[in-house]
Amino acid sequence: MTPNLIQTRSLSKTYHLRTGLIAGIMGRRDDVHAVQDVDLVVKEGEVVALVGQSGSGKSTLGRLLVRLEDPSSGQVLSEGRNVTAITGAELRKYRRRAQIIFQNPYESLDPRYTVAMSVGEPLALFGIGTRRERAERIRQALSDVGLTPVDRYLGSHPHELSGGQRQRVSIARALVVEPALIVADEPVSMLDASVRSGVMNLLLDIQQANGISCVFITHDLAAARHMSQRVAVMHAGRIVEQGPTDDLIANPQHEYTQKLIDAALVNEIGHQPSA
Amino acid sequence: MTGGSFVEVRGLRVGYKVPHGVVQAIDGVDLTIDRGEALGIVGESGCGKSTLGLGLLRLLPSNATTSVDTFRVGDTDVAGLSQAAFRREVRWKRVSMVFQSAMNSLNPVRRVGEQVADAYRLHHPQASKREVQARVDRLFELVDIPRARQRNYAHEYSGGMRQRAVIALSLVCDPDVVIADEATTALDVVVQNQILDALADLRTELGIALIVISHDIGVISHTCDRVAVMYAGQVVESGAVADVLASPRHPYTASLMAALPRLTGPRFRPVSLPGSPPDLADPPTACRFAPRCPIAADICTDVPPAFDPDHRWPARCHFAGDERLRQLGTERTS
Amino acid sequence: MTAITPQPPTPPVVPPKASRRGQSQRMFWREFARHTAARWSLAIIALFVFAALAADVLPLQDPTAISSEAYTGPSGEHWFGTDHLGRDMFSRTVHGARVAIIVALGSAGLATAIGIVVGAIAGYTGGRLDDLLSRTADVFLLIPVFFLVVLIVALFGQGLFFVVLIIGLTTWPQSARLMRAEAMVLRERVFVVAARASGGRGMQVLFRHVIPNGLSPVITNATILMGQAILVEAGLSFLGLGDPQVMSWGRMIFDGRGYLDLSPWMSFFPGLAMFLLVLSLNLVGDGLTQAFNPKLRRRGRA
Ligand SMILES: Nc1ncnc2c1ncn2[C@@H]1O[C@H](COP(=O)(O)OP(=O)(O)OP(=O)(O)O)[C@@H](O)[C@H]1O
Ligand SMILES: Nc1ncnc2c1ncn2[C@@H]1O[C@H](COP(=O)(O)OP(=O)(O)OP(=O)(O)O)[C@@H](O)[C@H]1O
Ligand SMILES: [Mg+2]
Ligand SMILES: [Mg+2]
Repeated sequence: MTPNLIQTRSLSKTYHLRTGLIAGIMGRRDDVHAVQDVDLVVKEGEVVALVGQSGSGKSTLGRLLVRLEDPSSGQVLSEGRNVTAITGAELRKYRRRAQIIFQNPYESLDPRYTVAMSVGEPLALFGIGTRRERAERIRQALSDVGLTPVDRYLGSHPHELSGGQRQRVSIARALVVEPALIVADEPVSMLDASVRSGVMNLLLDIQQANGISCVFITHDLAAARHMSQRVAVMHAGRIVEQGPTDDLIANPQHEYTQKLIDAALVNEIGHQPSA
Repeated sequence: MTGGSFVEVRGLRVGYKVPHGVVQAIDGVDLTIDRGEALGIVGESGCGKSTLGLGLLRLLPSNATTSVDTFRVGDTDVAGLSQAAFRREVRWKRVSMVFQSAMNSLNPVRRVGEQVADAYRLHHPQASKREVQARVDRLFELVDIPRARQRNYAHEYSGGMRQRAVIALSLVCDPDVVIADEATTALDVVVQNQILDALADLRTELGIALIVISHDIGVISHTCDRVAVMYAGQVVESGAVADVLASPRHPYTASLMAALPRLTGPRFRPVSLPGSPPDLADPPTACRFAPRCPIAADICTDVPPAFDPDHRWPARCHFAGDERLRQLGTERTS
Repeated sequence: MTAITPQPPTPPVVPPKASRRGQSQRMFWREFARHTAARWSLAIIALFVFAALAADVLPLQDPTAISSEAYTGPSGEHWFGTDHLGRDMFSRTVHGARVAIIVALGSAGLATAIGIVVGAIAGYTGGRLDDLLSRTADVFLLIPVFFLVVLIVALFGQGLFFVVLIIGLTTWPQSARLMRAEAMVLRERVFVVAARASGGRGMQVLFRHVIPNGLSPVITNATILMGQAILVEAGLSFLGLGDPQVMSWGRMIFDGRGYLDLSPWMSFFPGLAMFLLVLSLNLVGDGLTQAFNPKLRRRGRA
């Protein structure tokens, strides 16, 4: 059996929204249960797709996994070790192992940073390598994500790049610290349909070549099918169904999963709607 | 074909003046649409889709120059109208648009119902209070938002509801033609389908000629009767959705199809198109797609391909309908 | 400045495909140069800076040399006339630029630096620390700064350095407020979160991403602070509280006060110089605002 890389135990996150002065005084509070009682396992070298509608809690769960968010209750275990409450140097060490790629490529890079600076930043922040080693690793990462010739991109600023190229920079940035886990939060949903497949293929190739585990967040089951071995379906903060990708698509148990499949089928070219 | 279709556009050209020349964002586009029909415009970011819609509505920024040989809606020769007459008679009354990312530009401090009422009053200053309310109720009914939600503010709406409200805004004047620019791109699949279905219903119910702009060929296949595939400011293939998507004749269309992951059928590795689209200020002189084309030959960089108007679904390619296109996107994965 | 009120989660704003804001330096300067008054003002400021730097090496008369030719009006010999001791006012005005520039750079620089750090920490960390820092800033904003400065200088001494220090220490809250507002927005931006995910400690993220991306309003404000600092120092000198060792315009106006009927030039030229410099600084601030937000201007015209 492949060992677990990361595991959650009844992980929950509740946001408390103050509802305004009067309601606040009256003691009324709107709680948002963004993630509730989630038990999720990601094995070494595995891609798990997290699917669900907007607002179902996918991003929140992703951010909990890389500890960008503190859980309200429950646990996050990394290679058997409890990382739910670590802070400071320990947390930084964990973050080096667990990287995240964000949805919006137009927002996730500092507009003032060149590509070389953006990709090199994690190395500098984690204090990895000498200056020369870092330069070498930056070049390597850029060529791994297909931004070649590397010299053409090193000095570019984000506004000079297309969405797909920016997303490749974000992947390079995550890759450069050699993580064990990458959480990819809808990495292609803001991209043009014509460049999506390129970014997905890249992520898959890199994941396979380096044996990295990946949590691939999406609302598109067809993309999930292409990327993952296992799928977890989220609805209203809970995982309502999970299982091997092909089984789950062929034989959905939960009505919500069926709804997602129906929605994806409607846009499937060549698929005849049953109506 | 003379005057057969309800809407006819011939020879539309739009150029943007930029410091280093002119970006020819639309370079000779022809379109025809009938009442109750939906035409899809598909193409990647920057190929000129929004420019096309804005150009038809004469809403382009001041650095743009537009020319069109024919623009006819019903019996009206729209191309010949003055600016004032166009604004008075055509814009929003006969042709309206759902703007790209408009759902994020609803006024945050005005109730959604009031915003729709405002839009109606703008075009019907004489309308009585009762008439306005009746119209607003009807519009909300059309886009399927409960009447009670008229009193909400935009931030109290979900993304899908906001998009419906924006569609309602485009319908205030009972237009003949509606252009929906990326109306569902920011939404998740489930909501996306609800919106697309709402649009399709409206089109049949109201007899609207609908233009659906999207970079997602899946969206087009679901909603449209016909499709025009755009690349670098030109239409490279057009025809009935059933024809074009079943056997694309242009390599760009074929690549777009092969790039889509599928939920059914054998697992395959989606193809990714190499390179990036050409600089529209200085496009390749012959075939614009040649530098990225999987089947390009010498002739493609020397001779501009013609758009064969006699074919049922013409394609702007020397090798239109080539056998090799069928091989695209058949590389299986495990 | 009020404590943070929790905002409802705002809908994600789909950005324009190439964020065209402040894209490149060249665009920034083009936008700035479009503001004609700001362009000219920049030239005037450059002239004053040059005067301040080169006052000693320029072929000027000795600004301290006393002569019998007192109270003369402008002439070929003395372009700006002479004062009550017969000293050349042109030379004195040029030398006065030096004090003005030192005061402007020193005070505004200090105030801006304090404001940036305090504002960025308050806005980025939030919570109790924010409350504390914001309250402190509020207190400073409530006190009329000029009287505070007058009081401190009157009590504790009037060296130029001290005056600069006091002005700097009392005028930072405006910058802090601007920086805080920027930091509160920036801390939610994805690239700032991404820097945390990449191992950035609080302070590292603050100095690498939050401050550099939130600088524009603070820089604009700095030009206005410079003008204010010059006026405050002049005010002190005019009240006789300035540094008696230095040649400041305020001091010159103060000296000329008693002779306005005999020789108005004594006060007029230093006053004119000060007016020009402060006006130019404010206009440059205006130009910067426009260059940082090109959309403002366009919207204004539409
Ligand atoms: N910082 C926050 N404060 C308050 N509520 C939040 C916060 N972040 C998320 N939420 C709420 O938690 C719920 C889950 O949000 P989340 O972003 O995880 O959903 P998602 O599945 O990623 O959706 P999408 O597909 O739109 O990205 C939503 O109702 C959201 O409004
Ligand atoms: N105001 C403008 N000035 C100069 N060039 C422009 C302007 N607006 C658009 N362009 C250029 O015209 C071309 C077409 O742009 P358009 O917005 O129509 O593309 P699109 O197909 O709608 O793309 P997307 O899918 O990203 O919305 C692009 O190359 C774009 O950079
Ligand atoms: Mg999300
Ligand atoms: Mg567009």
